Amino acid sequence: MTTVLQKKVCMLGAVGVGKTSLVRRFVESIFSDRYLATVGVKIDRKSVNLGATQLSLMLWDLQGETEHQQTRVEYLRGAGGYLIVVDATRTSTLETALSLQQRAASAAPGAPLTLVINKVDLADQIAVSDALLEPLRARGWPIVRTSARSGLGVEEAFLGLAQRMLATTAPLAEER
Amino acid sequence: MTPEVQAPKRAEPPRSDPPRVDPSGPPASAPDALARLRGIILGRERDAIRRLERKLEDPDALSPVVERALTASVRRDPKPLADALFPVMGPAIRRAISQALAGMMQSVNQALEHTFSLRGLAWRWEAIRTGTSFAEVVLRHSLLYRVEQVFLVHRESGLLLQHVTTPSTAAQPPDMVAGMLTAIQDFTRDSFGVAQEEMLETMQVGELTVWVEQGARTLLAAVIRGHAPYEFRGELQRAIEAIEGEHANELLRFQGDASPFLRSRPTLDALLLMEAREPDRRAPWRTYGLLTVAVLLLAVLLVPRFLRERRWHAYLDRLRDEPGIIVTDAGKQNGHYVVRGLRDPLARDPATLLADQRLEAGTVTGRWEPYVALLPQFILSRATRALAPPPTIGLRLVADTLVATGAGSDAWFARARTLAPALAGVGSLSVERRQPRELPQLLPLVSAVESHRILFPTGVALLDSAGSSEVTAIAADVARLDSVARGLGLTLQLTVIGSADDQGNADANEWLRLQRADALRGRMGPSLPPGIEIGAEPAPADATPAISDAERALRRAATVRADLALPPEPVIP
Repeated sequence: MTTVLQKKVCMLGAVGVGKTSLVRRFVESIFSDRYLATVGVKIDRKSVNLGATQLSLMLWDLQGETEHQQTRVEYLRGAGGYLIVVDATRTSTLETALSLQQRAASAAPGAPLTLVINKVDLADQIAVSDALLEPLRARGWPIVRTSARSGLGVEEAFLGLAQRMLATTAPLAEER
Repeated sequence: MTPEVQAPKRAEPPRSDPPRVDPSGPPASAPDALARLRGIILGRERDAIRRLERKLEDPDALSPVVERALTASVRRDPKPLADALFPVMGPAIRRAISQALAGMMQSVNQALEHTFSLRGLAWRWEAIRTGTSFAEVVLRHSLLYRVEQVFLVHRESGLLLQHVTTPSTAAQPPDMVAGMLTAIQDFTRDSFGVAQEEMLETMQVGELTVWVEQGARTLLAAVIRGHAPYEFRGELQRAIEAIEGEHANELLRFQGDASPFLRSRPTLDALLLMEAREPDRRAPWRTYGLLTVAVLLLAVLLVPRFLRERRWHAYLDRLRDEPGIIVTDAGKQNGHYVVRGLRDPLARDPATLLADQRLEAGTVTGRWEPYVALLPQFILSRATRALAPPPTIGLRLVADTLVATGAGSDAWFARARTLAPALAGVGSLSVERRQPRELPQLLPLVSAVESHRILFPTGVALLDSAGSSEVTAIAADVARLDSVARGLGLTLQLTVIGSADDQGNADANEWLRLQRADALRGRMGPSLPPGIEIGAEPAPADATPAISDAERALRRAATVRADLALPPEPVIP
């Protein structure tokens, strides 16, 4: 028998890193992108099958962070996991990602994360080097390179996070 | 197995029963021995600790103690407990009071609305206007609200726990809607800086309202079409309490598995079932009642007025039809009817016509100017008054000629000739004079009396039996004639005429004639009405001789002649 689980997944990142494009690659949607600008969040859904479990990912696409407007991390409450998206061509977005991660960790403690380096199709402009990412890898952060344009790595990024969320759920599920 | 609970390091634990039973057995290993030692020394304390632990895990066992502790604390000083509870109770109490007030306001509003029930009348008008039945309109309007969807949402994550919807509702994927609902809750809370426990309770878009109620870990959102009563909030709150009570454990450990919340479906379905409000059936009856009262009031006020008005107009019509009356003006003055016009003095009195129309005598005042009406009946009336014709004279009008027909004195006719042309409406007088016996009402009666003939045998002047019975018949005819003649003011005079044939001696015949007349007169006299003069005379001798015996027999007879005399002319002073 298939178990159906719902998970709240948040998309974080600086403005213009391609969060919405990544989500659009991946999901079914009913709300328009205008919600992002008005409410600061847009919710989409993606169902994935992992073994005997059907996982319904509720993707909270949060408004990108700028220097004038901080992302509302309150939206992370109750999140099962989150993706932090970085623009491979702009190192500043990596700094934003780090600051977001700190705030996210306090809003959703213990939730697994995946660092997504997007726009890797722009090979000649890549600024976020392996060297910059090494300390994060050392911290145990899973890092996935994606291209929302070509679709490269998108499934992998979401599925990887889904698996880790399922792994943290499993003991509790068994306990019940 | 912590060092703290290890037994104090004394030489050997005192031996218990088993070694005594089996002294030859191998000595126990060190840990076993230690455990045994601990069992011996601390056994009772360990049991006590275990009992305490069990007690602590069992809330039922603890509750008497907690209750006693709370009671004691409150009795000593209620303030610390009140302070501790205030942050929890305060907002809850405030909300409960505001909901109760809002509910009360709504019911007061409704009560007012129904008391005056203008809405009922408006609905009736709408039914007439649109051509639908009144019942349909009431139903359409009194379906005050319909709960179309209910979302049970995990508050923290915004994940959907359960969702129910009415069959006809087209719903978006509820899990995404639920997420957005919570996102909007967060958004409003953060945007307007309200406290964490406050929330967006109502969202309204046109006819749709979303009511949100929250519990400790869940929130319940009901999508309502129309205007729900405030009591429905209470229903939502009770549903949340029931669900959170039943699913306390699942909510505490919620990791995204919504399947246990399938059990909450009946509770949520019950909220959907409260969709239609019974149409208020009293409203139409109240309207009927009001309408009836209004109609009765109007009737009481207007019907007598209407009837009086109708009678007044009927009276005026009757006056206009009445000969000799000309209505020139009619109207109301100070609530009193007044009619003005011309009236011939010979016309009917207008006041006598009031009774015909069932109008009271005092309600109408007539102001009449006299005039002379030249209608034929009025000309005749006036002529009759002026000329005073005797009953034997009839007056009639042919164009403007007054025709006087009948028997009358010379003096009367002379006066009529003088007066008639002076009468209004009479151009000339035409006279058709008759003898009294020629008057149409008398002529047949006179003929009847004169047609009797008493026959005698030759040379005899005595009545035989046939003659006697003829006398009775004559008397009857005379009585009839006399009665009519008296009515006309005429005096009847009778003359018996005796006849004889031409045979024999002329003197003898002359004697026979007279004798025969006398004989009949003698026989008739007693049987006649009193006051009638009766004479007797012989008929003049016949100039021509009789041709046959039959004719001779007829001549041997006596007959009666009736004369009518006009009354003597009254002496005009």
